[in-house]
Amino acid sequence: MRAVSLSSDPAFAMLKDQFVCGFRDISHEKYAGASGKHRPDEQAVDTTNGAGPHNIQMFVLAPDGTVLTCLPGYWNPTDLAQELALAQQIYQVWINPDLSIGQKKEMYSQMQMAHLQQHSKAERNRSRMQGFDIQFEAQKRLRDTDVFYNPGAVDPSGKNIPPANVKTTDVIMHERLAMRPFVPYERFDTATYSSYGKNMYDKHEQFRDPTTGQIAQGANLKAEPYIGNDPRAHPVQTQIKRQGPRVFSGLLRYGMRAAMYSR
Amino acid sequence: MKRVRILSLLAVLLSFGVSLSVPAARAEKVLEGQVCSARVHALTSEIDWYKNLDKAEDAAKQQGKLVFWVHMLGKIDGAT
Repeated sequence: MRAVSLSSDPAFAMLKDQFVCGFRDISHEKYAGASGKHRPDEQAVDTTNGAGPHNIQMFVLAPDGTVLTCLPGYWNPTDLAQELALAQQIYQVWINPDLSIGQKKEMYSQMQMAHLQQHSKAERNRSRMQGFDIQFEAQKRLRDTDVFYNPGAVDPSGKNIPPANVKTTDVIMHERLAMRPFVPYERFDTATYSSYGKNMYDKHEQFRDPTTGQIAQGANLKAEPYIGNDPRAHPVQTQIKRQGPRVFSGLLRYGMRAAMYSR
Repeated sequence: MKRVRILSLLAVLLSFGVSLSVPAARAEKVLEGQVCSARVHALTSEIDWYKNLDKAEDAAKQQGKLVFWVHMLGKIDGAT
């Protein structure tokens, strides 16, 4: 994200000049996903809009902490810039003293949905949901998910789902935002909002051959370090969780025996 | 006929073996480590990244700007 999207114009120029930027590490939050861990000097690859929604959420907030927009997952720098511009327009609605709160909320929802009409075909193509995420939604969340236009026509096995029945991630984002007009950041339901697809998102970037773009022959993917909500990201904690009760009961038994024999 | 069957079976097994040895992943345009490092350096040196939202909001009020607040796994200038 940072090496491909945030650091590329036009998003970078806007962030630098027009926004105060900050970040929060969510790797220990319950709702966070997981991925391979990457240093800043390791390889990166481009991906589709909205990929990895559990791992990244990019908010634009008014100075009073009101959420103006939130982009789940990775976003192309050109598409991100347009969403930043929309947030600036929405902010003008938020601070307009001539509008009631009801009018402001209605305008917010309308502006979110109207923005979809401005998305180019190229952006819609960049916003196609990853195949494994579509399959996950069909297999695990078919009753609850909003990613299909006609859930009744979806094969629960996740196979042979026509692309026309799957919303693109830009549509999912704007629809979900339209239902959350001017919510304070501390009350924004990030977990639900950013929930679609698998928790694990990893493209094994550092194992790819730069010339072919394919994962290199003989790459040891198991050696990859992880970050986020995955047992492989916290080997020590996971080990303690798995073995802790056994070790504790063993110590308890030992202590009781020692107490009995010492009498 | 039997020989043809055996050969075709071997071909299938061989292709199966090859498909197992190569991880199934699409070819991607790879950005090399040096380029990534330079970009992350630019991103983190030309922009001040706040870690505290209250402070970021205060700065936004003073500068008349909006806050771009990223939730991410890890740190903007470290491992992620």
